[in-house]
Amino acid sequence: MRRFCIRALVLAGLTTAAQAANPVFEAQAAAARRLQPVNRERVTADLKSAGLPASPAVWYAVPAMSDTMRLAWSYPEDGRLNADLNIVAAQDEFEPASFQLYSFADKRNVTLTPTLFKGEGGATMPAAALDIKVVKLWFQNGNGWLSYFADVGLKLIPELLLHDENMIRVDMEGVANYARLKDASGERHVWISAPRELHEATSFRPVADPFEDAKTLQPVTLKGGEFKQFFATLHVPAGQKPGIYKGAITVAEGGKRLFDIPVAIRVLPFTLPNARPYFDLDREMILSFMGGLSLSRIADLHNCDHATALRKYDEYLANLRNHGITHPSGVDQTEESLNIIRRHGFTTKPLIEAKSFAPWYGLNFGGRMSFDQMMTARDGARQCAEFYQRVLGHTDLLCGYGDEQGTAFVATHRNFYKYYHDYGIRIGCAGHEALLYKGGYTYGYYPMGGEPDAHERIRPWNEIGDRYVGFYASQHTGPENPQFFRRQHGLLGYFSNLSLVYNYEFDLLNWNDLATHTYKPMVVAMYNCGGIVDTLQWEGFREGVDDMRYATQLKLLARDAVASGDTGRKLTANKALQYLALLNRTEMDLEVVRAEMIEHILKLLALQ
Amino acid sequence: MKKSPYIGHSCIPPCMRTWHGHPARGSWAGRPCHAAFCRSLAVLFLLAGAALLHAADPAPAETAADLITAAQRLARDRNSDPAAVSNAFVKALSAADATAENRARVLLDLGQFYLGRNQAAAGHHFLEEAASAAGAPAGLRVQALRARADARFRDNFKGAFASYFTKGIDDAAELHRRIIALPDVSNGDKIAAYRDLANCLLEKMDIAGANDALKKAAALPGLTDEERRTAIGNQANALYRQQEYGQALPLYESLWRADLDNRPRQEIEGRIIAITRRLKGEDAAIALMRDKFPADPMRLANACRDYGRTGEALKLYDAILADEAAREKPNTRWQADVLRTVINMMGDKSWPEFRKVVEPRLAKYPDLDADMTRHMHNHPFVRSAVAGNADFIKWRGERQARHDAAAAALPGARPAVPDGKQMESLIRARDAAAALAQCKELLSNTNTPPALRMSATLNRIVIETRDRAAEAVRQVNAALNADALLKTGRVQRAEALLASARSAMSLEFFATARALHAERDKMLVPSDRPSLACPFVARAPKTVAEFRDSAHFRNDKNRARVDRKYGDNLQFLLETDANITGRQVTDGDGSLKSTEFTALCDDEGVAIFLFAPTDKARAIEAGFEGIGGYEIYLAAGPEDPYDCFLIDMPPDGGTTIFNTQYNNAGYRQLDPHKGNVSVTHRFYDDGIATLIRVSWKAYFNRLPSDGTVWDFEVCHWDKGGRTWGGSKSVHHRSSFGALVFANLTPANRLAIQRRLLPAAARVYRNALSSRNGYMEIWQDPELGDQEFFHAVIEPLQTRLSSYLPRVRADMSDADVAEVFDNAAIEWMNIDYIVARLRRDYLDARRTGGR
Repeated sequence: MRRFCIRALVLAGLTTAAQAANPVFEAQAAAARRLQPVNRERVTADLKSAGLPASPAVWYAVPAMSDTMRLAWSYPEDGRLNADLNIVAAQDEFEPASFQLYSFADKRNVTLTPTLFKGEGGATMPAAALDIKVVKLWFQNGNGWLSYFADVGLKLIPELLLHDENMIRVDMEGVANYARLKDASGERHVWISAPRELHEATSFRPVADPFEDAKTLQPVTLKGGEFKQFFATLHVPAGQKPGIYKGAITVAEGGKRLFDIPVAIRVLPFTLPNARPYFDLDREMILSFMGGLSLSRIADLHNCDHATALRKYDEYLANLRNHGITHPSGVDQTEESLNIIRRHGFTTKPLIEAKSFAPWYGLNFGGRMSFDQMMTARDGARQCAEFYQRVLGHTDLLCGYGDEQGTAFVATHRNFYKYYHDYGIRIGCAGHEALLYKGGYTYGYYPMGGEPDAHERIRPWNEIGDRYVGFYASQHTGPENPQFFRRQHGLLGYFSNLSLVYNYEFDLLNWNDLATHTYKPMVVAMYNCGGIVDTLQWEGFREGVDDMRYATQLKLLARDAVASGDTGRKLTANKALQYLALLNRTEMDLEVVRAEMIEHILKLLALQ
Repeated sequence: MKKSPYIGHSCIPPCMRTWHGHPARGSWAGRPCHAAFCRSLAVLFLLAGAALLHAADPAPAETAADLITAAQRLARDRNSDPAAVSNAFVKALSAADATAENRARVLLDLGQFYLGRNQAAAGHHFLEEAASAAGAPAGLRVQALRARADARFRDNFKGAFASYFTKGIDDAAELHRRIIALPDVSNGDKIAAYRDLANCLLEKMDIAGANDALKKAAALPGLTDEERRTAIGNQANALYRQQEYGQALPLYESLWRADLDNRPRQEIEGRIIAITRRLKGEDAAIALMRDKFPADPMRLANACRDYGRTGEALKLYDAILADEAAREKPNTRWQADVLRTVINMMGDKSWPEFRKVVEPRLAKYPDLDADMTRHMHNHPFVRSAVAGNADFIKWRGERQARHDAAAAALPGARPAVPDGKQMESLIRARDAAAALAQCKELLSNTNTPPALRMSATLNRIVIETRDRAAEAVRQVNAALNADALLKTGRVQRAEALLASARSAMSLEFFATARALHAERDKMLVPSDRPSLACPFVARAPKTVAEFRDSAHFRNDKNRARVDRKYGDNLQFLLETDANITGRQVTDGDGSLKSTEFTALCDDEGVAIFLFAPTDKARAIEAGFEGIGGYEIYLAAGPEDPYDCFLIDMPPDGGTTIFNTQYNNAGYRQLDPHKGNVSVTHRFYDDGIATLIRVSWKAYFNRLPSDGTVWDFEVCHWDKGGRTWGGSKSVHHRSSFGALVFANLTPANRLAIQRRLLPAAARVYRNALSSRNGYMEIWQDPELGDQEFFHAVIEPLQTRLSSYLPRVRADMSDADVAEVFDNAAIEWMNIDYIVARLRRDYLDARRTGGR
């Protein structure tokens, strides 16, 4: 007993120290204590005002994409009590819905099971089309959700989408995240939110260690008086018959049904095209990130044989493809890997991050390239063209050279880019105005360091013409807010005439938000032994891409309508285009923009 | 106006003419008017030989050759004084037996010396004098011109924008042409000059010109066989550089002979192999190395390694090792090189593969084992894939221990001093038992240095206490207290605690890691969260000038100081004077007064007034001086988005705001263009005042009450970076201080609401406007949705519009409260409310079957 007391005292001391170092979480904990009784009253009142009988648990349908951090103590101001989950999606589209469960008392072993979805005329959609995951609250740094900067303190935020909420243990007392390592010998938990100076000594290997999510949703625990968010992603099968499908998610405790959450799905009568730039419908946008994993990296991380690495890489690429990536980055520039990405349906024309075969000359502060360096570059261009011509049958390539270079670097190196121009290969570089001032005429693509709506920095590149322009850094990846992520990587850049989505960076391996200096780990999704672990921001990215695909569908239909010579169709198309043109890009409600685009698409389709 | 005494002359005062025998003591760079001076100086130098002879009388016994040698020796010493070198050459020049050749040699050496000391003008001057000196031999003239040409050529590669010009290359080409045109120049020198001229032409991408020059060299009359080979070699090399491999290959083949010296033969072979690989592939290259050029088996083995033919390479390395071992006196150094190459090649394979290859070879060459074992523990091998493998670490450690023991057992041998790397590797590999054994071994070894002994002690404690955190901390503290330095040396103690915590972290003793880390944190100066009241002030100051003179700012209690050093340097985190609010910050050479600020709110919003004291304020205002700007963070609560103000000081600076969210129903970006924030500056004789005003319009739905805390931090990028909250890096949320609202009585809150109502009504009226108003549009039969309007929007509009007429200048307090509570927030958010209604309407309609 005495020993227990001493241990408790030590732990209490540590907890106090931990909390003092985490002022944001301290404030959150205070809010939780203050709000939980209030929430109980509000939910009770909601039931009453809706004319519903008292119930041990309820749900609120909430927007899947939102700037709101849905914490255990955050009453869903935008939620609809015990309302249907409505999902509108195109064929072969992934579309999310979300809800929060609230239980007045603790409930263990709670299961959520989707039913078969039934449509008109006997059409059905399998229950497995709806993938339900828990939105896991865990500790991230004090800037979590909001910005890409580092901090030494922690706060709770929703981020991970898990089938097994116990894959991460969140220690509220100690203010810490633990990874569950589980294998035949049992379970152990590894501290993964240590301060940077300790993290550097960690022996945790998220991929090599037995640390993974379950394949399907596992029973969850509902803590009395707390909200728990779930994320239900519907994948409408390709070729699914358009129409309305009804089904439900059955919520049960220990096998005993508590209630059904009705789900209504509208399958739209079209498949979404790949996104094309707002100002140029004749080419596709490049949707990617800097960073990511390659086959060789995956083999290293899993420390596995080639066959296993191939399987893991396939799973990784499938996840990327399903999240809207059209051009995976970080691909090994080998015939094998390039064939794999082609097999997965990614676009390889143009190919991003092609290997230039030009050496790095180290002239970072300028100078003059020697004849031999020029010749090596010329030879690099030749090798580059020969390799890709042989493997891909074309030389429509984007090769990076340098990063955030200044005017002297550009002036020194730009002359060798002509050798690549000879083959139609584009050399590009991420950075700032120096690249425009000294190399605007020769660079073929340009990730611009700035906001996606930095119009005056985007405009000159598009006016020079025939190049891909994207944004990065403002903000970098890292903020978990899915709606922010969606806007930045979706319609905000799209309406600003970007043709490239290529932010920095697609880090998947840094599970500790305190591990880095100055910047937050720039993760979009996570990766462990089981493969990619989805996150809210990764879903936000997909929705951003889908917003652009809807806009593209609308613009393509409008173009056809305008060209049809039918005045009625033309004016209907122009109304749609006027709608897009008048949108306030930074402030528009993205959900309603999506809904209106669908409305305009359906009108145009009806006139065909 | 005072007239410059140098007008009409050099823009730079002439250098002192005090003669120390040193014609270029000052830099020659940047002296635009000195070309004539250079010329006259040299003429003076040569013509005034007699005077110089007097200035530097040589000892009678010293010959010109001796003096030149001595001067050259002095010139080679990079530390020698240029004046002394110059004097030495002058002395040689004035030697009694100095010949014309000696004089030219002196000028040449002097020129080269100045070039070497980055005094290009002087260097070129003397070299040119050497090249044109009467009686100078042709070879020396060539040397002088070539030195000039090389220098000018190199100059063309210097500077950030060296690609803008070719003057250096052009000059070099011209100098090479002069060499070719010199009378009595040897064919060897001409061939070299043509080669260098061709090189210049290549740099200008004049490939035809370059090839033509080299062709001329090969066609020079009277070439010896060796000279012809050199000329052809130059042609081959140029063609190789041009990647004209097909043309280069026969030239190289014509040059190859088995009886050539090793080096030139290997160079030719290397080119032939490289071309063959390019033109015919790796197999052909390997066949060539194996069959035609078998004299270099290591080259063949390395090529197999580089082409990824590991098995083939291994066999070849083994054969090399066996051949060497079969010699009467094997060259162990050579064997070690080969074995090291094998180990490095296997370093990126899996541990089993590595072991399978390396272990038997170490067994076969036991004399090399110790050396190889050490190699596997040093850079660059430690960066290989296998080096991080726990089994490898253990395997290598055991071998190392055997070698150490064997070395110690040798008679008279000096026992090895352990380095502790094995202990660290085992800890990183999470092998607690083996690490503990290592710790104990280190502790029992009398040669273990004290620092490593302490490290082993602390690691032993961490492992033996097996995550009993309190016990670990107690024992670690006791061990540290037993050491004089670690007991009192704060930095050393903090580092030792952190090292122990890191060991615990590696070994997954997380409670211990946290406890030891917390123990270290206790040593840091506590940085309490700073707090400043932000009271509501009726009739508050509005302008910078009013603030500066206000009673509020003059009251010490209302001012906070930006006096904590920015950054996370351990030294100053441990130093109290930098972190406590000592109210006087020093920075090296004197006292600095801190930037201060105050905050208040009124019916318009929140005002933050900063004052940066500086006696340079007027100079800054006029643009002659500068001062660091502010980086300020503001958030309306711990979970709220923050906005970051980046404020550069006038006259050139502006303000940008980095927002961390886009507008939505709960948040409005602070944006000077949206009229919800303003930043103004004013200069005084003693400092610069900055006023930031943030409108309640951005916080209409989060109006504070008494005690409400907003997060706030100021970083002033001056004096090395000072902050209010103690930020360790930018956007350091956990270091933000607290602005605590006060005096927000019901009447004062009502004053805020009264002020907000017209703004909210304007937003709502915009939604009702036919100019793309988001409520009005739905009534439009062409662009809207009248069904939606009547079903959803009209009732909302009827309700909200009913409050509009009550927004009047003379509205009562009761009206203000009622309209604010029932309409104002919805007015402000009307677009978002309508959007949500529309979205729900469309979703329901679509999933409901329409």
